[in-house]
Amino acid sequence: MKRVVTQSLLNCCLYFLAAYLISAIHANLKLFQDDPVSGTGLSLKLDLRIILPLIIIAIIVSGIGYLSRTDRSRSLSKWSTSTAEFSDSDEREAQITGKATRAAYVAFMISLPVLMIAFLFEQPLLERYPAFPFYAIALILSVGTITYMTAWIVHIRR
Amino acid sequence: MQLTNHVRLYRQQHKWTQEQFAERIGVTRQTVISLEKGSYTPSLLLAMQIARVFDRPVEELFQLEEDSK
Repeated sequence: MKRVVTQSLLNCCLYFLAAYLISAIHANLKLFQDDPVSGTGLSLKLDLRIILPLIIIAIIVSGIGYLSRTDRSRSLSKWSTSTAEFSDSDEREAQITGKATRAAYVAFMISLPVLMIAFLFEQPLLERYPAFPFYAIALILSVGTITYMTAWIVHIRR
Repeated sequence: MQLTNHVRLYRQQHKWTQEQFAERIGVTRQTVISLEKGSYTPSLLLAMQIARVFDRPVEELFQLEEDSK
């Protein structure tokens, strides 16, 4: 169960890091396009106050995940490249993974229309939060992942 | 219809821990716990593996019962 929780939380960190990175690139691209002749080109500015806590959380969660791995003989490289959230070490876990995947799919199907409604108010939202679409996508992905994790925990405890 | 089993009884007769039994049938301990509680219905393959480990026919370990309403 730990590996599913660890991997799911790491995935959520990854979504928000990606959203932050894309929004930073987007903001700088806009800056470059505003002044293509005397523009300074693409200079990426990353706010460490946002990025650092996410990286620290990801490192801590990775460390816990690696230290609490069930197969002790597994090397760091093998552990880090495996998709641990799709745990199927026996037929019951494979079944649970299937159920959790289904729950995650349903969560996507519900959260996506909700996001579309939020996009109706895109203009005022974009004025206030220019990076809103990137974080909205990260949020939708996180909803699916968190639903997967929750469903997995609920089923494995039965 | 509900599938009941006597896995716990036979495991205890063999003096195996849940961990030892799980290793013998190639599943996790969590699955053994769930199986003994009756909250998990094993596949035919796993049921036959369990029967083989105990050297008993499947129908002696697993019984189909009518739901009592």
